[in-house]
Amino acid sequence: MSRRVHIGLVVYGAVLAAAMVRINPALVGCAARQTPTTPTAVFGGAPFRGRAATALSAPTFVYRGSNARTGFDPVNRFTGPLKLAWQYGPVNAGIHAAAKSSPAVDSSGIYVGADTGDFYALDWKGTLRWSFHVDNAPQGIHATAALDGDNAYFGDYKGRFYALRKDSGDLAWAIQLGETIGSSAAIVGPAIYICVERNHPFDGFVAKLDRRTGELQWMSSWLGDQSHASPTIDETRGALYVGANNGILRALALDTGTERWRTQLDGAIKSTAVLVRDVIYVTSDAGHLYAVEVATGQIRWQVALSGTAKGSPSYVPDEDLLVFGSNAGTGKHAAGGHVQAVRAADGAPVWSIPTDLGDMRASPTIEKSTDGSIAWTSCGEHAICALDTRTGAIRQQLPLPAAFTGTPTLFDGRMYITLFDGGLFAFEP
Amino acid sequence: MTRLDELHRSAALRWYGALLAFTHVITYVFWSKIPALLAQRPGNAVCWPFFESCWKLHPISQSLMHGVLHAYLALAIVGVLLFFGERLSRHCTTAAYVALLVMNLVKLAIFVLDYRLMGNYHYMPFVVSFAFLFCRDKAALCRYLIVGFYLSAGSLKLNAEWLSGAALLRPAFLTGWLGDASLAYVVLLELVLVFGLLSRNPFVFYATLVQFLIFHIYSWHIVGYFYPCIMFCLLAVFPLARLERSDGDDSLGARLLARKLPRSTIFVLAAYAAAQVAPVLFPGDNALTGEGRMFALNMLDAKSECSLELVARDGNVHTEHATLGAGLGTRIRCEPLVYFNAARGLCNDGASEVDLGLVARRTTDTWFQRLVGVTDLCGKHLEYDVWRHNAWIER
Repeated sequence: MSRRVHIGLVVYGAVLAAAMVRINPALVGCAARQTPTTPTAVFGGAPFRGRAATALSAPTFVYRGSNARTGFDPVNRFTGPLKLAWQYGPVNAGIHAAAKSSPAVDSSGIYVGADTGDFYALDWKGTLRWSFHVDNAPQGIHATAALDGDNAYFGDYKGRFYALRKDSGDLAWAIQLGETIGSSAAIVGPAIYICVERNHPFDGFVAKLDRRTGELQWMSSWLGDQSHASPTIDETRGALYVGANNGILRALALDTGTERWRTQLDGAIKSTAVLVRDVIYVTSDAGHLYAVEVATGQIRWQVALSGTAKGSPSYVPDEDLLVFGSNAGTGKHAAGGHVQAVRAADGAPVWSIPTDLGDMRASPTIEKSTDGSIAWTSCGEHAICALDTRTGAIRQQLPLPAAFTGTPTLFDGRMYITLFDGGLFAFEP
Repeated sequence: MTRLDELHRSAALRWYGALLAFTHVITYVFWSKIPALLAQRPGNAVCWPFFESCWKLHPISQSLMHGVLHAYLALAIVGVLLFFGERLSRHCTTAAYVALLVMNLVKLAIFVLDYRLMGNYHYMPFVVSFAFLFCRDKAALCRYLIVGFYLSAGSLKLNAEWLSGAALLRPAFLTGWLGDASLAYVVLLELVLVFGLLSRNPFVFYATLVQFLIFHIYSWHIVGYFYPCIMFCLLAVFPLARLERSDGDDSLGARLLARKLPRSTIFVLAAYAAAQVAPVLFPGDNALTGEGRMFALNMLDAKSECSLELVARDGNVHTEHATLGAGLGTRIRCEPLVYFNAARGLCNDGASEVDLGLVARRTTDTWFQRLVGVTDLCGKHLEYDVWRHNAWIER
């Protein structure tokens, strides 16, 4: 009896040992312990699909007017000075130094995120239609929403990406992608592209999501540092371009997320790249504006700026110019700065005007006027200006109660902006 | 022979009774944060499915809970001392028995106030205390049960989650190949070597017991002090019974094989075994769905992570409550029941509409799976069914 029991135990133990080796071959050195090497193994995801859309609607708004992020609005036209129509808020409380979310506007209304964690939907009179408070994001929302016919899409500073129904504010789906999202999404057909950040240690990646369900389709390799910039889409070449805080500008394939090329610039890339034909333009924190060939990643030209540039350049098609702002020096708080224009072809300076704004983070929005083009941008500590893109002359200056750090949004003759520490303002002719 | 006669006759059992009472002293220390937990607003209560109206008792005054816990501690200390009073008066042992019964009832009353208090370190003392208080042949039954605990725990560890080290709460001292080997050794210890605790051979018995003691000492830096301390108390029945020679000439193993066991012992062991099977009877990965797990031990078989979508609507204001799960224990932090409770708490707080979504994965999985996706939970009047699969939990 005892012997049989002992033999039974030995056989039982041997079978168990074999089972364990089969489960974890590393026990006998047959396979290395699996270590996550790509973001996929670290984050991954599957969405809550409470209210997935049954059919895809057309995109109606993306950050900086288009996926090329040129900042040029081909529809609106400057017809004369603007005056305050209404204001809503305060919206932002000045939490965290990053540029604030800009209003996303389409025919259904105005949508904007706040650094307090609230996302607002307003009607044309500035009345709240609905709000959605994201939990557990102490630094709130800094990304500008992308819109289609059904949903508003945005990420928060806790790394979660949301799709909210525009009509009701109900959650369509959400997905936890990383630890921070400061980037604004791009919509391409059935896909959404977004940059995601990791805080410990600093890193980032680009994610492609299914617009209908939020399901993750691919995640790029690690970018090597955080990426606050928004992806710039080049549908012709099937590529997206994105920079990161390590100064590396990358081109990734839209369909797979694999890297096509990378170019090391001289400082952190906080701004979103601008795509014009076969060149992308991007600024660096170290104080340069670069023109980079989209096909190869080679730098076509670069110009030294007066200092740090966190905002993106905006493209003026009629004059083939780039308009942008920069600080005086690369210190954290400069004494002042400049708004300037250079030729897109070779970076040659065209005009420059000084400002008393030492922390320029805003990016201009360009619209046509009866005689040329207008660049709406921050032009002082508490002011936004309409500048003549040919000369830099101020056509109108609107005083503001607080700093402006985003991108003005133009829609149906009106201009909408949010303040760094204040409300949402609507201006009309 | 009455249940108390065994205690009067056996010094080993009285010592063991004192150690079982001492587990309540340790529990008192471990529960020092409970008053703050139970003082949260009703919407934060996580109720057991069989006591779904627990939120009506919340928030419980912190001073009241401190008072109850101090009384619980006093009772436990008195109970420990009474178990040593047999020589003074037989009534001491009777009083100690009653005290142990009452302290278990007090612990149970606190335990059912919130699901977040669940844990194997309570499950095992409850089961052993039940056997000690109400069954015959106490010393043998307690030892069979403890062997059963290890067998259950070992079988739960026979997976990639445990064997890869992913299930560990904190990094272990041993890493690399040694770490892998130690994890495999624990499975062999709990599933094979554990039978050495039933052996009559003193070398085999003590060699096995020492290995378990070392295992629990080693686990201290990973799981904290509470679990090892509880196991030291529970394991004491093995040397105590052996030193008293309470088994006569038969080893426990031989008695088990020869089926020389009282009916109450067989009944308790069968009930325990059936409870361990319960989670398997529910569809899906019960380490994630949590269904059936409250009946069984759920040792460190899986560490999960999840993403919660819990949105309450009040008029045109939507508020997300993604942090309701913060501070939950490893085993329940992704359990649908917890968030189902949280969602109902929001309904009870007056939210007109609540949406609940939950995705989760074992940490060794690449992808998350959707466990819950319910819109307008308040209006649907869903219930949590303990006995059957809940259709709102997706597999």
